[in-house]
Amino acid sequence: MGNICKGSNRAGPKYRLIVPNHTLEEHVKSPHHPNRNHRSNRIKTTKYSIITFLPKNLFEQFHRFANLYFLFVVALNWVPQVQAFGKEIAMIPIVFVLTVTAVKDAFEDFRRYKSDKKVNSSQCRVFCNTADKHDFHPKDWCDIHVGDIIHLSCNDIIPADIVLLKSSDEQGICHVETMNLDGETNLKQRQAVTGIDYENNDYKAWRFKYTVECEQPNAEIYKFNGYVKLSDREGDIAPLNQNNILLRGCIMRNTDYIEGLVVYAGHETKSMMNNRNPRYKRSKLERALNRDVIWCVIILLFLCFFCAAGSALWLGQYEDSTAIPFIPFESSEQFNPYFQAFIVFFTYIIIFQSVIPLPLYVSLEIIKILQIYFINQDLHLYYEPTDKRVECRALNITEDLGQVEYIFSDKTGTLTENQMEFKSCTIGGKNYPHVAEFDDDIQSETGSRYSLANVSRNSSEGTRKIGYQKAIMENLKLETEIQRELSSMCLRSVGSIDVSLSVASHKNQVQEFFLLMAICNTVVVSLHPHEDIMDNEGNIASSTNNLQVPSIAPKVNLNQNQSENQVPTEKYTKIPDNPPGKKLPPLNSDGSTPRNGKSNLLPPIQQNNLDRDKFPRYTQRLEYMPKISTPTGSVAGSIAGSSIRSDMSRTRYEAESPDELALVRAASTYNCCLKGRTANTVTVWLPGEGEVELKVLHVLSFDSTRKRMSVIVKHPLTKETILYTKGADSAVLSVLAKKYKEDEEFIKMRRNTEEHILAYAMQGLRTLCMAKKTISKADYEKWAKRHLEAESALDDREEKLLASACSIESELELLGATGIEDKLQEGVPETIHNLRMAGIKVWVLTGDKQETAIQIAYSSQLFNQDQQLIVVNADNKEATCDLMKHHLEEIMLEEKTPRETESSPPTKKKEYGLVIDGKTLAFALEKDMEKLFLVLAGKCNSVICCRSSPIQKGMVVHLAREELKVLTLAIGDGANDVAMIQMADVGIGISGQEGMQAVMASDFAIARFQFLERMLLVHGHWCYSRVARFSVFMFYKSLISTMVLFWFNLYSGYSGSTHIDSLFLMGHHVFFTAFPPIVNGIMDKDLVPETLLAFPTLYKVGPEGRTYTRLSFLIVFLDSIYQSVCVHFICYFGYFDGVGIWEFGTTMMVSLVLSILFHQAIETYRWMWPQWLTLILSFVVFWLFGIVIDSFFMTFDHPMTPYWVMQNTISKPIHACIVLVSVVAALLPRIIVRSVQMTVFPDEIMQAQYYEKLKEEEQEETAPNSRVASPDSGYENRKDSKDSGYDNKALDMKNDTQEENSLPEVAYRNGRVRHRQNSNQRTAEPQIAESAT
Amino acid sequence: MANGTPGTPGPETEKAASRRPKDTKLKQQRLPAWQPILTAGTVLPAFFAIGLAFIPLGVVLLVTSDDIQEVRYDYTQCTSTDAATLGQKCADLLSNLTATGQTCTCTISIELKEDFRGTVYMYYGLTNFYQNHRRYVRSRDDSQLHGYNVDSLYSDCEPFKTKKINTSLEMKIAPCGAIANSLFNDTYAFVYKGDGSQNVNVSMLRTGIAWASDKDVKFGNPSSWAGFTNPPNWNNKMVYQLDPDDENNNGYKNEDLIVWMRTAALPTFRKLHRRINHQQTQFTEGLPKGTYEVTIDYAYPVTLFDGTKSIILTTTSWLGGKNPFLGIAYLVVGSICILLGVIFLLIHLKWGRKTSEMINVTSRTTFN
Repeated sequence: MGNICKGSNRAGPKYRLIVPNHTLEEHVKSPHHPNRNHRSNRIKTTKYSIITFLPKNLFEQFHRFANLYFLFVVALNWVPQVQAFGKEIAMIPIVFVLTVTAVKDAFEDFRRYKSDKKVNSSQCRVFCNTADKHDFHPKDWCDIHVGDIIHLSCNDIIPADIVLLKSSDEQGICHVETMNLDGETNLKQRQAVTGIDYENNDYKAWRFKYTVECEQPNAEIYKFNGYVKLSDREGDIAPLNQNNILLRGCIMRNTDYIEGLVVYAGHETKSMMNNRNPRYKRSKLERALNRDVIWCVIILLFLCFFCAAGSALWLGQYEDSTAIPFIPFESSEQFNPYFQAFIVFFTYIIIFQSVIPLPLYVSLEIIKILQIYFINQDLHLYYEPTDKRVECRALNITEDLGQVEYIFSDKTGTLTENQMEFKSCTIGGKNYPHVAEFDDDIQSETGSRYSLANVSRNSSEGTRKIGYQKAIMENLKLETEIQRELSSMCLRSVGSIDVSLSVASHKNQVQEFFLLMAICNTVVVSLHPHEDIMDNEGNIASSTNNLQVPSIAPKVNLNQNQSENQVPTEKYTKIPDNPPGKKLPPLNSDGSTPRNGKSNLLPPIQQNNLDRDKFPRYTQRLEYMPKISTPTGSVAGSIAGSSIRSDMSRTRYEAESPDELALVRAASTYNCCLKGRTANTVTVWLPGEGEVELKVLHVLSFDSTRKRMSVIVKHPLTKETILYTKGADSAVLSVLAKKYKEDEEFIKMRRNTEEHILAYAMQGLRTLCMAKKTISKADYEKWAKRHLEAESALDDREEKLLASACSIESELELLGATGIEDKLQEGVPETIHNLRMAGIKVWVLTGDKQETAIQIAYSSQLFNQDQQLIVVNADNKEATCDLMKHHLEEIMLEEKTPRETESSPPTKKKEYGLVIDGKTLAFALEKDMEKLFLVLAGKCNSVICCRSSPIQKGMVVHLAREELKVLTLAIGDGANDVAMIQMADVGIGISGQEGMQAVMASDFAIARFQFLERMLLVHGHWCYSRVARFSVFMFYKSLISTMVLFWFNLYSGYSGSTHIDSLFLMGHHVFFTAFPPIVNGIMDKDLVPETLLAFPTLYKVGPEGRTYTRLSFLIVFLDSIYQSVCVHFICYFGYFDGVGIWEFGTTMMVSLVLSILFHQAIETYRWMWPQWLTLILSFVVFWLFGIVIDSFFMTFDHPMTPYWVMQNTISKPIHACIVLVSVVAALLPRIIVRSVQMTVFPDEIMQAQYYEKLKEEEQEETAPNSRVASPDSGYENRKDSKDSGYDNKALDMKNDTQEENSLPEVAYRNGRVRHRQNSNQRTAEPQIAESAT
Repeated sequence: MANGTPGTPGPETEKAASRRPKDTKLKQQRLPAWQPILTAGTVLPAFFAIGLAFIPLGVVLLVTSDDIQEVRYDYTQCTSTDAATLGQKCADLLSNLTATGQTCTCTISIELKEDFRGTVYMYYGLTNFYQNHRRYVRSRDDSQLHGYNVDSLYSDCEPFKTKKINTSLEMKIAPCGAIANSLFNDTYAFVYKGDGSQNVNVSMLRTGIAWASDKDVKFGNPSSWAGFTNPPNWNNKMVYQLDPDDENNNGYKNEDLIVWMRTAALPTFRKLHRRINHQQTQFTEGLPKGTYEVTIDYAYPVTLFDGTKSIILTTTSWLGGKNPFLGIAYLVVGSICILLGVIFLLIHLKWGRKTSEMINVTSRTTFN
């Protein structure tokens, strides 16, 4: 994209001129077309075309150092003086590597091409102006040009940057969701251009004939300037700003349709110009590899220098070199030993080239792609309810999954479901815990917190599907008292509440509380789905014109319900067979006449909603259709007439945040329903009165500084101006009226409320505080004036608005507070527990309040009872510093004490958990404090940062990554986690409720948090182990092949001679011994998943880097020297003196290949058929290749004309004798070391392998028949035989410390395969119970 | 799926568009596997097996090598028997000679202490001769040697690619290159002194010493020798004069040339030169013990590079020449294996059981 950015910045006119295309004559074509210089909407993200592929791809590939090096080597080989191999043969490896990479690149580019094509061929309606007809026609996105007027319906993706001309809204307002662009989930309002004079003020597309001038394309999303030239007169313009522009990639919401003029298209759109290429990530292991590749270079240079020096000395011993028959130089100058040393140095670079493992990188790429394929295929990581697999977006960091040391997790939506449920409330100091009846065992207030976990278990997968909607309301046991209070709720009662008489007004407080819950929000009620009356052909559907065209299935055709009485729910989809007359049948033919005349046009939303659940990926905006169950109390039953029920069944709520949704739903459960909302009014149904409309004067929307939102409404009867505020308890309680500090009664109420809030937080509920204020007319007018000023301010608008909002949000009267539960995701405690057992430090970064976060931390096993909590809350930097120092000293002290009393039994090392809030975190993250913070955090096993902002999240991850030098993993689901995900070494997105932003930024996307366990402990471990062992092996392979050549050169006058046929030498790395390591790198398993999951500590191998250490290279270097000595010198002495150079080389080559293959065999943990196959095939192919190639006389392989060499060599018994003894001798040390290590000093992996073996044997004894079915390590057996030895053994092994607790947990592990749900339910209780005590 | 029954994704509930991965053994990485664990216990039988196989094999190899009868005579410093230069060292004579083509004759006598049974071969051996030198190895043109009508020779043949005959004429050398130019050209005549005083000429076969594949395919004579000259060191001998008596052993197909062209791997090497003609009455059983007088046409200089020349008479076996190394190597490796087997047995007895116990113990502690 870079070049485009540059292109746009080139000198040129400051403004671009856009002429609406429909005003131009047909024949006006380029070069006179005024819009000719603007790009079309076709996008192309591919790197290559068919023609440019080869040169461009090669050019890019040669940017890599290794490729350039090998190109240099190939070029060197063309210099006759230094030539070592056949010119063509020397090119085999590099050509092979380039080809493989090119094929891979071509494939990736082809995928981009296909995705481009898909995007380009998306449909959109474009205005066409033909002589007799003005209408919209569907066109592909790529055919949209600057100057076109396009028509979009609700939920359409905006195809280009357009200036809004017309919206279905009367005020010209439309909403867009900019999540794809900036990650913000809230809707943005856009305004149609005003001040344009259409005939009769009636906008029609063809009446827009004005020229638009705007800025040249730029990447600034929040900036747009321009104007519409209304006439040629100077200054007769309609200005355009960012409120008038809809950017490509955004989604239109809450508006039936819009029309707009394209101003930027294709790559000139702001979103495309912002489209940066993803950060190229290099895994930790790869960085270690690069270090050892440098060692290879050093070895190469050393060998070359050594041999060059040897060459000079060797030549120097001959007094008259010209007479020596075996030193044929063309001219006498060349006999100079130093000159020859110089020449031969380059020859040696060619000969020893393979010391740098050329195929290493390309093989790694192949391996990782296939590893990813297998991760993607894992059934255990597939989430059925959403039909989602793991999505691997980064291709080259699989092994990083196995080395994670720190996990940074978001809470909401990651650990929790992000399905908010109203749980309890406190009104006027009176608690309404809404304790469900079925929780018999839970009586106390604190007890109800377990429902948090219980409910999440109970509504696990199976039931969720069906019970999704109703589960929530059914769990809410309505408080009859509230129902009684609310029963008489009407306008008169809510309006005239006199708060000074608190006791008498409790009823009013309750009513007002629920009114607030219903109206103080930004929930949009859509009584009908947004429907565009224009069909895809641009025809306006009307009662007279029912000409319906079969629809081309549009891209966003989400929830097409093919039921009988289905009407279009989404944009211009029409059902062709629907007879016009029957199109809109009334849903209810009973007497209930809905007030809203439109409502009988509505589709059965019930069904619609259920359908939506089947396509959860589209439920980006939370929608809820309140399902009114008859309240338990008879009172409500009599009030809630059938009319409201039938009415409400068609309503659905669209909320920005799930909390608001939960509140509105809770209110509507009490029959206090939000019925509708327009820009200026809000309609509610009151149980005692029915539907009423309130005028909304202001909505002071939520922001993270105030942490509260307010609405100001006008009471229709009393004409009072009332401010309703809800927000974080701290944010609301701090702005209460004075009397809450003075008057005893109010203090009591406040204290009660605070107690309840605390109790809610202790239950892990999210709390919101509700308050109100009646504003006097004079105060209101004064404030409104200032607020208007702030709104229209040009600079510092944000701050002024903030100040203005704060000024009115003061002196509030407390109404109460709510507790909303965000259910923990299933399996979260187990997952976190196991991840922590695996030695991973888990940090939770959340925006929630501290108490809530701590409780979630306890219930999710992040903290356990042994852990000592360190809470760091401070108001300024000094205090933060002191506090942290204090805690650190205490920890240090604690650490020292056990050492002093060595006689005492070894106490378990004390564990700590750190809690820090956002404000303190800000101080702690300052430059001079970060070290201290990290030291402190490093001492703690788990850390919670509450109330932290997205930027802080990113900063924390960055800090840990850079300062602690650890491998970090960030997991999150929302746009607020993007910073963190991008910052971390491994970013994981949860494809959940909050849209795709996190997923788009991530390296891997999983459906549930619990999958993380398998991702890391199994796949991560495997990938790390495989890649590490593969890399070690590749180094071994290069080194041994090089060393064999080196030894020979000691006996060939340091002349740069090779005894092995160059064809074999070149082919051996890319063909003969290439595949077994690759197959092992993809498939070999050190341990089976069951073992890895049962013993999370095994994961520590990865983070501690025990498979690929700094010593690995040294060990492999020494081993390869030894092995090459065996191969060379046994051959050397075995043949003694009677052998030709090529026979010598052939025997050595066979020994070499066999040594490598057997070495690979020793390093293989688990033999499956692909390994057998490649290993055997490799040798057979090598051998047959030798025989076949040597059967033909050919001279291209100068100087070796290999005719019949192989046959002659292998036909002699001495060949086999030499090969046999040299291979055995070469591999002896490795076998000895491996088996002694395994027997005497087994590490954890080996112990676990041994354990697996024992299990397998046990299984064979108990179930001898199953062995036939599954010789694999009993995976299936385990599945079937739950009472078999495995379980008991596992139990045995599991732990003594956890005692009872271990039982269900292990059972859980084993049961997981069988049926997850049952075991989940079984295990849930003891798990949680433990954490509670 | 839709009905939420876990674990039983029946086909009827499976949606067509489901992205559910296929539950195959390959895709789920559950292929049946064999998991060998290299412990002392499992490895030690292999060690014993290798040891038990290698030691007898080593003995066989050693015995085979021992049975081979071989005599080697280093004649580098032999003295001239020519009348003119009698008593002088041929090596010195050769280095003082100005013109090529002149030779020195020397006679040596080789004593066979026992009868050489079976087929006896005659080798010449050179030391310090780097036939494996990179430039030397490359200095040939196999197309030319194959008999192709080559227009241009390999540049690698330089400086023995062409030869200036006179100022205007420069002819291609046949065969080109340093290897051919340095063709070994000492000749030998064997006389058996026998039990009596009678001298029997030992007749030698010049053929059957090269690889059949080389002789039949790799080397071939061109249709015409015209336009080619001989290598500079060849004493005016043309390639088609190498063996004028035997049409099939002449030119590029000359076996002495073929053997020489197959360059040796190491600077110390021997090359098969002649086969003893066992058709002769005295030599049907091999070479009888006694003295053999060898008259050598000493023409090949080796002292320049501190090399030596020797003449080798040897019988042969299935293993090749006399070389005890392999037998010893097998014995050593075999013994090491047996030794290791014993050590591993001890390790196994000491640690093997403990390991299984330890695993049960440590798993409790470390796996928590």
